Amino acid sequence: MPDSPLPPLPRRVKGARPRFHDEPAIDRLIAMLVALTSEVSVLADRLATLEALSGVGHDAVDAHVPDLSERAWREARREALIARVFAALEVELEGPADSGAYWETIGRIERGEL
Amino acid sequence: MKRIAEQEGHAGLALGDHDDRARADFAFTLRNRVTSTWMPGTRTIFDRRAADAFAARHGRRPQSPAEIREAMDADPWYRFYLSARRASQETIWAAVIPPAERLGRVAMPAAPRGALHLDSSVEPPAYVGAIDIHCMPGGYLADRGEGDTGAGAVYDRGVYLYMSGLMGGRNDAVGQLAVAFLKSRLPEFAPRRILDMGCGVGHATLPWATAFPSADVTGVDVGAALLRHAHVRAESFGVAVRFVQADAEATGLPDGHFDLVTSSILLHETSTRGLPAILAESRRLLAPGGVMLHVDQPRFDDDDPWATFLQENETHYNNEPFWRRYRSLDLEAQARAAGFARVELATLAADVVRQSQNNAADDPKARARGFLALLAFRDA
Repeated sequence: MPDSPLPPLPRRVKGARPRFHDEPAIDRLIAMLVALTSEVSVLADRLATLEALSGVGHDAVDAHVPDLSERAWREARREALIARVFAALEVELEGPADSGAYWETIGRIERGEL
Repeated sequence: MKRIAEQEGHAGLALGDHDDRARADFAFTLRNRVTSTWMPGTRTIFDRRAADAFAARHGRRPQSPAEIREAMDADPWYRFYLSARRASQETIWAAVIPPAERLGRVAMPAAPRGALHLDSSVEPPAYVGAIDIHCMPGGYLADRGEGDTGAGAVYDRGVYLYMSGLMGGRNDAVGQLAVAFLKSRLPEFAPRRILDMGCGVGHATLPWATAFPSADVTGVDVGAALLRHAHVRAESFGVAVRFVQADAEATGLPDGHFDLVTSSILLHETSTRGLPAILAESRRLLAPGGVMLHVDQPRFDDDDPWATFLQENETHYNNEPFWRRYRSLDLEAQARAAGFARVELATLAADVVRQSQNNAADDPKARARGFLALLAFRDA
């Protein structure tokens, strides 16, 4: 048998993918949502494995109530997480959008005005 | 929750590491959700509003499969369902390809009971490679050369997940159905040589070898990587089968060589041109008094336009190019045209059939549906 490694297996499907929505982005978002849910499921399984292998056990995790300092630490982490995930939404709250100045600035840079 | 049987391990099975298995488990659970909740939900949407909306536009309720399709295509829930269902199908392959890829080159068994005969000069029929059936990337023909079992390893896991384990631990429910039917219909029949056409990774081939242990069993398929996997798998289970790379339309095997020529869920993956050629080849290969048995999907029930609409979705959305046309064919007439004078049809019912036909498990009409057994006899 040859020593050379095999090339990767095909990932693309022969046969055009149907369009289910008039806006193709919706079909892509649904596919991303399914893939993302799969990854969340994998992480949940991995945590469950750690709970089992560490000897802590699933019941002990379910029964655990964090004390106040632990809860404060988690609250700060959750706030930071939400700020990162919803940054695209919240950026507009920080002030009016920088309207129209972009290409004007580029033009000025290209013309040697800046 | 469906999990009738865990897939039975064997030397070629690619389960991968923790996260690969977790991804496969997710694909399994999501597929269950699709078949158990979402698919029946299409009927709920039809009854609740899609049929009425069609009636408001046309002045009458949808009657034919095409009108049902028009009614459903206009519904936003249904479109979202189709899109998510397609993504769920892609999730199955995305879960099983990486561990299959990591197998690398697989060594063939050192002292096999059976055999593997590959022939790179075999020209596969055009329909096999035109569209990747079931959306499996690379399809049945992907072959990366010596030691490549990838397409077989991917298919082996994919079938188990797609059918929610209803195919049994060895993915062999259809083969078992076929064997049980033949043994009850022809209890005295003891074939010495058996040919399984379009055998793939041997899911339906091994039951024949187990049921008739003194028979020589041959499986033919055009996919080299499928056959390598089939060989590794059969040897790992201790079952002797000779796997040969050949086209079922023209196998190159000798005239009159087999007492039984069979296939399981092959015909619907061929073509309007290929199917009659396979039946004619079956007849050529049979010894006098020999038996042909092809088990596959039945004809559409023309009295049930809703069921027909659901069935046709396989051609519309799941890369089943021949499914829709195949299911309007008169197979009995096709067998007679291939030269068989004695032809019988029978219905084989089982859970696995209902799932493969997109039927809800609790649909009372679906309980009577089954696979079609096309049985024909070569004159003695």
